[in-house]
Amino acid sequence: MKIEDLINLEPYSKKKNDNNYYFFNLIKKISLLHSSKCKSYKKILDHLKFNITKIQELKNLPFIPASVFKDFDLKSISDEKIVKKLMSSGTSGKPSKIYLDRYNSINQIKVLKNLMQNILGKNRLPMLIIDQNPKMENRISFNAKIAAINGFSIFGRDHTYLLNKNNKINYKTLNNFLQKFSNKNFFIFGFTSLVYEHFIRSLNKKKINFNFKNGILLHGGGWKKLERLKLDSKEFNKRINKKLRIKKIYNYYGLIEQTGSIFLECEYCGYFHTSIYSDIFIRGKNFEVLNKNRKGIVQLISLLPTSYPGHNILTEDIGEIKGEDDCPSGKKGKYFKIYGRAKQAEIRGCSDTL
Amino acid sequence: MEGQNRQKSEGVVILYKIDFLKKIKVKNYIILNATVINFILDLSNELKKQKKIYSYPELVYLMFWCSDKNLKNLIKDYKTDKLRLGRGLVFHICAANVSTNFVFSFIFGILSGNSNIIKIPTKETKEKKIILSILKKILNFKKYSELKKNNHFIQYNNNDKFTQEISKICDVRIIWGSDNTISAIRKFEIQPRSIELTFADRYSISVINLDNFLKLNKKKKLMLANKFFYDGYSMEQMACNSPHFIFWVGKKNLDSINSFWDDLFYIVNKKIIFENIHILKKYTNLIKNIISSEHIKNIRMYSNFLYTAELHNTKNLNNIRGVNGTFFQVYLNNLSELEKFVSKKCQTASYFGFKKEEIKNFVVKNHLKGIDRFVPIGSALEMESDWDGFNFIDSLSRIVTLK
Repeated sequence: MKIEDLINLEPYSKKKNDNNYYFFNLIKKISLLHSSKCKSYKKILDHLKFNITKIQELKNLPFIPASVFKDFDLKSISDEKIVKKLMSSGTSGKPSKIYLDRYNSINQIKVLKNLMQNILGKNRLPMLIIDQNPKMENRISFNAKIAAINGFSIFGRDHTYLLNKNNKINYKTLNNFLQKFSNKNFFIFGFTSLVYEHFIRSLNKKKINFNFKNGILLHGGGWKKLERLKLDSKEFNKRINKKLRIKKIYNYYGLIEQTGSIFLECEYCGYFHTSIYSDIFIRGKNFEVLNKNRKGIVQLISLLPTSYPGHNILTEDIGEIKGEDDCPSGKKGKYFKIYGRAKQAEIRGCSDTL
Repeated sequence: MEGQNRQKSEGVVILYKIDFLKKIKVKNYIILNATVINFILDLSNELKKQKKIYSYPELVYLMFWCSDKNLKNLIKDYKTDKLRLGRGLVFHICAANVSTNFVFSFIFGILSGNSNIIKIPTKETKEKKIILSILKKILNFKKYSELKKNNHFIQYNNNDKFTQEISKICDVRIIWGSDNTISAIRKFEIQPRSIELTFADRYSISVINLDNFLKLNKKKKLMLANKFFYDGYSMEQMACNSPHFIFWVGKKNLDSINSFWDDLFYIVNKKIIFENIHILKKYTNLIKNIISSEHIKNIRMYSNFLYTAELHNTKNLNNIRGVNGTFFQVYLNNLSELEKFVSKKCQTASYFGFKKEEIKNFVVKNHLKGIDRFVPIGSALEMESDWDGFNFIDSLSRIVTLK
């Protein structure tokens, strides 16, 4: 089986237990691919004495820390095959650098499309973006923001940006957009913090003449900026619903290292779901796999990364599995909660005289 | 109150305006004067009164350091006929990696008879909060009113203007920090007669005489591992005096070396509670070392509590560091082979199984460039008046010749 065979399947149709076989075999194959193409990855496996061919279970395959992509250029393709370079925002230090070839890049789009169709339907919807119009200065290198806006834009049409150059809401543009499109479904996309800032806080309802009730809101990019507000996903949805009457609100979670195979929040259980393209383990302090309802370090697995060894990653996030295959929505797979970054204990290094 | 200096509740002035410097009074006192000694004893007593002091190992250490017994030893080392006075105003730029660093810097400043401006790290820690509230309390005692006038704890985010202005008037500038921090601060001149002490980023090692290690019985071996545990695992292995490399000197005996690590693993299991963030940093550091170094071999992971590896075909220790209990081993036939590994960046060698005379010979014969401290394993993290090759009290005071 290949990733191509999964592109058109219903994304939540397989149980992790049943489908482990295909998933495990694919991840194993991808691990072997990287081990033969990426010297640094091979070096890690050799030093930690991993023999991929002998490993029999998904949970025993090796994972590497996400921040390795910040310090090193890890690639499993030759430089002339690079068609895109993704960069994380790097708000907390150096950015991650992800190198894509055509194959990897196309698969990302196909998988994302399949996941998004679940929310948006098959047709492209008019799209309102809670951001400024990003200037495309360099078409090979994309920062996380532009990559996300670009990535999701292909599921929309009549793209309209809510903010002007000064980061203020452009009410004229907004009213024009709503006048044309608000009587049918339309797509709203933005980073969680910007959605909060502009939808919940600054948007003045008196200045808009139409309503948002047909909007489908997708937001992501973390709660870090909102942490001090003690706002959780439920409360966030409630406030937006109360103010703008938007009913369909989806939070997504994912790594730039695993762009495409994102985890979408489910409207039934309220948690993020794995799909047929992804899996999750929660690890304890000795990297033992933790059962559901136990908090630990989040490990994410994706079938997509083939041009760089980002298929099996230990994140810096803390999460908890809430259940498997029994979500009231009928979706198969694991569903989980994310608590945010592992708490930064005091930094202790001579390097930080501040 | 933007634009004005603000007094924080703990007695720290948050600098917004530099005119605060006009208020600074500088007096030169005789070293080790009685008021200062009493003040430090009071600091120790106040620390003792803190309810949760034993949850903060660095504060406990400070408490013992400031105790009567330790101070008497310090003063004893200083019996001299020479008349010594403080150099004047000391500007301390302190580090954030050790929460008590600014207190020790300040204490050496007053012990050697100076007035002090102490720039404390902006990073908020519980330890810092406790110390500052105690300092505020004691400095408000009437008997210390003069100390209060002459010493100022300040805090500001990197602001070159402030650093520049204070540098202009100080007699001594002490910088604790990374090489980058130091070179950034060095742009700002100090007066022609002023001096500067810098405590740059360094690393430390341990050296064990295998022949003598083999002679230890099981219990004594465990005790040694326990001492090594304090050196290696306190401060998340991030202090300059934390060991990262362990040199086994003598006839290579892997069984007994492994028994040392087994002992250490047993102790770590019993004594340490790691947070997820510690484990993440540790594993990430290991993977990064694997990718970037060609000299690491035979990695052993004692679960995530202890990582060891061997270092091969290199004498350069500058780019490899452990985190939270990661140690790199090197096997040597004799002590003199250690010389090639020692750079100026190496601060402390904590040792076992060598006579002082042997070490002295090793240092002199090899014209050793680095290592400013050889101390028994278990004392690597102690704070001493001899530090990075300086003596604080000598360096921060001036001799008045009297004939």
